[in-house]
Amino acid sequence: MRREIVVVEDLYKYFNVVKAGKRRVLKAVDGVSFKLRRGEILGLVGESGSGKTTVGRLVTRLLKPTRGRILFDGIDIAEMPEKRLRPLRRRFQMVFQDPYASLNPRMPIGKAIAEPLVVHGLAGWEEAKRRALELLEKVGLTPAEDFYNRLPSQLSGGQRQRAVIARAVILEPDFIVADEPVSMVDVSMRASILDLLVKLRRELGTAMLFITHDLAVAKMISDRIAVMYVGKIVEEAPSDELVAHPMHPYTRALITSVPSIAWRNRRRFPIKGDIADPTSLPMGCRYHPRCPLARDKCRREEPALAEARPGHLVACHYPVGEPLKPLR
Amino acid sequence: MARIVGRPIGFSLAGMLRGRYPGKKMMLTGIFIILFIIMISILAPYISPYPPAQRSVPISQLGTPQPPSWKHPMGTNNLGYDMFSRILYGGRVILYVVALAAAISLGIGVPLGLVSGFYAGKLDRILSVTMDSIYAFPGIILAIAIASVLGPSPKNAAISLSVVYIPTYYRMVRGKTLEIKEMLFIEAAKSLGLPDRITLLRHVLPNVAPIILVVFGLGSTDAILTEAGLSFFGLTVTYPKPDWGLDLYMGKDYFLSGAWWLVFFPGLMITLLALGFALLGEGLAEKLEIRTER
Amino acid sequence: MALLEIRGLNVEYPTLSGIVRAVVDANLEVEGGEWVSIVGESGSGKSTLAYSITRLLPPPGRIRSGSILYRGVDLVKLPERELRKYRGPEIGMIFQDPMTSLDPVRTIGDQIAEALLEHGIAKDKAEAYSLAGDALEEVGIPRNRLKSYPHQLSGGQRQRVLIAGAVALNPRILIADEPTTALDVVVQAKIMDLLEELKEKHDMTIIFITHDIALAAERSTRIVVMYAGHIMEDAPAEQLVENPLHPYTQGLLNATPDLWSDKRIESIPGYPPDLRRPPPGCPFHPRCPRAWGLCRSEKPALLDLNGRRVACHLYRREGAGR
Repeated sequence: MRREIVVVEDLYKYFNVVKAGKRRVLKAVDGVSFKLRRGEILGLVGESGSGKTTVGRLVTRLLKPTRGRILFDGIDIAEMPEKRLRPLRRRFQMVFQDPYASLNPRMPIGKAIAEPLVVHGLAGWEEAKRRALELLEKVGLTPAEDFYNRLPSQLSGGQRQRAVIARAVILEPDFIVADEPVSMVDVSMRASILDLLVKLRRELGTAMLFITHDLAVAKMISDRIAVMYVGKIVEEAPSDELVAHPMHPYTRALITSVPSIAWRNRRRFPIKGDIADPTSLPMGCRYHPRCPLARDKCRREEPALAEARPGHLVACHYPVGEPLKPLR
Repeated sequence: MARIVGRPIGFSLAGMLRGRYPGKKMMLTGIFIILFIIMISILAPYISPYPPAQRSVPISQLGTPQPPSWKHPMGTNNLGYDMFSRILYGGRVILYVVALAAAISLGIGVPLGLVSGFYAGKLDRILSVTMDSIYAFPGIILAIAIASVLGPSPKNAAISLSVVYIPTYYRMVRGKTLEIKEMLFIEAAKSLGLPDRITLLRHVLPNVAPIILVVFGLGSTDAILTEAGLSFFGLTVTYPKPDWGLDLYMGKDYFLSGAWWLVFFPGLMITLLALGFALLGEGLAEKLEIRTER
Repeated sequence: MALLEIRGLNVEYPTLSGIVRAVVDANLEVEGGEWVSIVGESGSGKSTLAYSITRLLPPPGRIRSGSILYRGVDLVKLPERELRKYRGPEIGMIFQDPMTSLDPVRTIGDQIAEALLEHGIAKDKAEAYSLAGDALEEVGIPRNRLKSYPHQLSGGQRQRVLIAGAVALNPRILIADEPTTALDVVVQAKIMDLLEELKEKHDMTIIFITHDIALAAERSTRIVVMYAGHIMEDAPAEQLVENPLHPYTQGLLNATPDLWSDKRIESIPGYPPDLRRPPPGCPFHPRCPRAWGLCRSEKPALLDLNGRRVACHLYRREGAGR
């Protein structure tokens, strides 16, 4: 068995757009590489416009990449036509952000959960229903018999997201892309959804790409975190290491901007202006116009993602040396 | 806001009677009118006082329409036919033609709209242009033209009506499909590896269905008036078969000489039937709009 | 007398399936110069409470009873025409989605200037534009942006424009309804800085509505926690997060992940109640780990406890002793 279930190499996605009456190329994903081991959770963090959601849709092939390789269990799916991809699809699943929109409003959730089994010819409706009931139980939608026949409109946001997760795991996929799965769920119910994902990962050995804008959530659930800035990963490290010692000035600014009760009087790392326009990226390092540490080299040369400390990758010519706060 | 708890959206009669929802009164009134007309049409042989196309007055009164009286509540026409009996029978043709036309329009317009909206592409463009050009034509004129070519018969009238109304179904279904297609759960279906056929039938169609019902209600309203027009020009059945549109035509010559009942009652029935479908359609639209809003 | 005094406020939304009681018997005083954050999850009534102050409730919302005294004037009873004089120059509002509160087809300069003219703060158009330019500069947007349209600005800039428009009228109270929720954290932090700075400079009082208790904790002087239409706890920010009294506040803090803490986060079991059929007694009791008999039958009053307030039967004895 391969150690890596997903290997993404030099992934690009460009969109042709019209902006202010001119044709432009929007570089949504601009050379992204990462690996996911079986059962590992990689947090993909970035602001809106960073391209993190596009990455998620590329690796599940809801979008076709402009170029690059996406190796799923050793098979390159980047260019694969939909027909050949369909049987593979049961092995990787997606959980979307909006639990209100990602369920068919006219299909009872039990049927929606059972459906993938039937469609992939893995079970008849009888058997699929039995499995769906088991899963409803497992994700905490009890009494399962009762929930089986409910329509999405009869569920709260948190309950719907549980149903969506049940639907994604009924095929026991090797890999799940979870795109902001808790951002529309109330705070008081988030932890249980995250716990559920962690539990499923443990039981099924599913690897997960956890896409979020919320660093605190990412740190909680992920083994490693990759930070994206306008189409590129600028830093990647084990979660605790990344938070304790962010080396990229952008990561540092991002991390110190997150509201925190535990460390209220922290100093925020400076950051200038607005996020770069993905249709006209600056020369050199794409972060340099906002960076307080930028020097000449940053304006000329784009830094590559390289190992700065063991297991800690950063794309910066002048990474920050000292930790943010000593690890406790 | 509070947790939104809805009831399953169903179209069971019991559910429609029980619940409280906007448009309920309109819808139920519409359904009542339509059912009433269907009933009298079915029961006509048992409840009509005279045969619809036989003289029911003394020979002496022939040639002069008789005004409403106790014996003839809606009067008689110049041939001495009892108008009340003709009214009871007269809905049969129009109901048959409109029902057949609706079935054909649904059967062709809905699948075309679904496929066209879902796949977009070249097929969609060709269909859209074709349908739009038919749609742009004045309905009644187009229907008359087609019916004249095909020859007068209820079936041919239904076919010509279908040609006029397929674009209506097509356009509405296509539009809604385009909207549904963009929704996340369709993408979710794709990510689960569902074949298009299943996605279309199981996930798109049920969400398009409500709009089909609304189009059925409002489209049929229009179809009734157009059908009456066809009958008026003798393109459905031939006299003396009882038919509201045809009776309207036959009666119009006597209207100026004061025989208002020959025009009034058939006209009233056509209007009433059209009103029934209009209320049904409007009521449904109002009900479903609320349902789909969040 | 407090600058703003809400007494026994009840707000409801009649719906086809029953009356949603969005705010129940709310009592709240806001002193001049405070930054009061109202924290709650969806359905807690936090926005409804804020919108009641200027009576801008979305239909079919209505104030059923209670009074809202602003410097002694009851805003609930004021005729609409009178109230309009308060909206803006006395009590300003900014909203979550700056795009929907700006007119997409008019320049931002037009929109700010219009309000200034409307309220008689500027005498003529020229003055209005010059003041609008000042207001933009104050929020960090160059004045030449006066001629820009909303879509030409980023989300953060649009929120700045809204703030500029509100602050230009020099209100005493600024109600901010989740103004940073749609924004990224970096932008959020900057907007919060801006609000803090403007508050000091213009001597404003801020009522800040948010679902993020950590965000509230960093900036507020006081935090009010709402749940299912009820005020559950009201305390100075520091005390509230360091020593939360109400089991709901405790639960909310336990459920909030924090970058700088290794605590395990935990959900509050269960779901918020259906506000059309609220449970008897304390609205939180079905989810409360410390609920006891009385909680199921009697609604706890908001008790005063040394400068803070809590609505929970656990603190009944202390409350009675005061």
